Amino acid sequence: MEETSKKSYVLQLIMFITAFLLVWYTCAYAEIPTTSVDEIAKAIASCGFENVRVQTSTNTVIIEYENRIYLRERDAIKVIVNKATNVIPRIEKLVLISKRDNVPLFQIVLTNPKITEPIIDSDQIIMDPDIPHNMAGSESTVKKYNSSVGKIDAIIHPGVAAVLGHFEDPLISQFSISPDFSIFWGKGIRSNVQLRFLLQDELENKGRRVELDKLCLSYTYRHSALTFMNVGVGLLEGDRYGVASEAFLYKWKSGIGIGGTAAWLGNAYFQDGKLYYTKLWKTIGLLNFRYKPPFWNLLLTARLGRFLYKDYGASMEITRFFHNTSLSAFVAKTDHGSTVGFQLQLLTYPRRNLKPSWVRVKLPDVFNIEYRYNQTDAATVFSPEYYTDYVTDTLWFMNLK
Amino acid sequence: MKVNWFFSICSILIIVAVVFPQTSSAAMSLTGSTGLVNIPTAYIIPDGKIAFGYGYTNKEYSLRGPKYAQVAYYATVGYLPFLEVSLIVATFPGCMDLGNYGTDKDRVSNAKLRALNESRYTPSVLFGLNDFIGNSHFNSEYVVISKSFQPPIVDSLGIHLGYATNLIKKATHYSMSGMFGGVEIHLCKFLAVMGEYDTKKYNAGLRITPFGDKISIDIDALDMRRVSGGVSFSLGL
Repeated sequence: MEETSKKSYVLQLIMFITAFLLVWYTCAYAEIPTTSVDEIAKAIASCGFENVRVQTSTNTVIIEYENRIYLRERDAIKVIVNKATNVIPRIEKLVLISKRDNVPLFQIVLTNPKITEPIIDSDQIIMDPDIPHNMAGSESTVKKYNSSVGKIDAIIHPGVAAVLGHFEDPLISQFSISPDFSIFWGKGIRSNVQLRFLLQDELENKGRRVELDKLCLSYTYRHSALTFMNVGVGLLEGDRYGVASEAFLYKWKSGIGIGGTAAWLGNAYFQDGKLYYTKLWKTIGLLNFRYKPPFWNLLLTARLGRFLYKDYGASMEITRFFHNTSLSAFVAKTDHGSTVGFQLQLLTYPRRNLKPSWVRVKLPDVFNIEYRYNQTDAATVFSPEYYTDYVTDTLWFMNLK
Repeated sequence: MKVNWFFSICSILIIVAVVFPQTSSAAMSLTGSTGLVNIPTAYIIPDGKIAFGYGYTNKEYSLRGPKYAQVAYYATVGYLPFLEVSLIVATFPGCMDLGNYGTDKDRVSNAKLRALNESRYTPSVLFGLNDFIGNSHFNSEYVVISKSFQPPIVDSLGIHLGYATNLIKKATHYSMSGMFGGVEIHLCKFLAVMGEYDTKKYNAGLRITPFGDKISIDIDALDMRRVSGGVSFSLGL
């Protein structure tokens, strides 16, 4: 009898422990049910965010998103936080990973996402540059929505180049419209075809014509150490073909970025129905520095090395970001000469893009006006700065108060 | 003699300023920088603001005078909380020095760096550079102090004193050299009278600001006899 009761006690004890563990783990995982994750993903995707992926662990929601709707990243963050907290009011930790072409740009950790209004100005944002390249967890536990793969973006760039100075009236030397069609193929891979309709060319008096400005394939890779690596192959800009790459290491916590640009280029153009091209003779090597001080919305940039026209030297630029504009002043000196000038960037749109569809047509986010005190080819930059600039832009749109 | 009389009045005004302290804002001069008629003050355009304007200088006091008047088109930006930058195109209508290339023009860049912000009892102190890039037809380097106060009857009163030097030797012409100073009396919120000595002559002016700091209209008398003027419009960037 005693043996039986002992066995019974042991059995009961084992059952109790098993039940306890079951309840424990079930409770832990039941805090954020899978249906809620699905709801969050759907809600965010319905707002127009793309490449949305949502995953949860205990009391933590991780949301990857691509914002092409809101011009200012902080507006995007506010909407996402609102949607997430509406579905699950008691989120203790919310991790937001902002992406571009499915490549993570930066990560924001919100430790108290219940307070959504002062979210941007508060200390709860931790901008983490060391974000993982891939979302942790198995694919089955991740909810995905609004993929951008195969969709076409058509950006229409208006262009005016005028010669000012000692003229009675400014002579318009060029007026053009350049539609840039790009297709996203998969993580970091994008192809571009850009045409240029030259409507007027007074100085050279060449009349109207169409040029192929860009026909290239680019790939962007993100690594936690080497933050970005962007490579472009093909007809990259105007009549230049070849390979160009840029790597950039960002340390946004300290506001410092350092990188390099390398390119191997030749010239290619069509004339009378024939393709003419030169050898890949031009090499570019630049060391790039960026510093974003934690005050006044400033960005300091410096480049050092061999520029596009085989000239050696350095260039420096200071940019101040205001609410709807940014204003830069630059100075450059190479063995081809020196130049000083400024650039004004104006925001063109209240929104970054239209809602997801197969073809989207829009103007560029910003319109550039550049003025140089002297016309020189010194310190002309050629680099696939698509990603590094995008990060800067994103932070510009986000950091302003 | 004239100069001593002018600075004696300024000294008295400084004493009054200590008794009735007040801080003030800035408006554009004919040259495109913040100031009175011709002289700069130690105030700068607010951070993140841009002012577009037009300044007409009578031909007698133009760089291409006495034959041609001087017209300045400018954009002035509060680039940083302590730095103002102006980009100016000075033209001389009718002056065809450049032959087939049209009217004579000059591109001018001015910068003002505020070293000390004005407080209730201390003045604003500022260092400035005029036309420091290129041919430098309007060059000068200067330091200026400004203080505003609120005496009885008028809305506010500002006093400005400075000294200009000519450090850039390759400059073809200097806009100021030596002591300069001026006063600005705001009779009401939208109307101010100005008097100044710009190192060469005495000038007076009337400043009308009908919509706060958005629009400013100046009607000036250079050397107390030749009419000049300007208008500026400012907005946030």
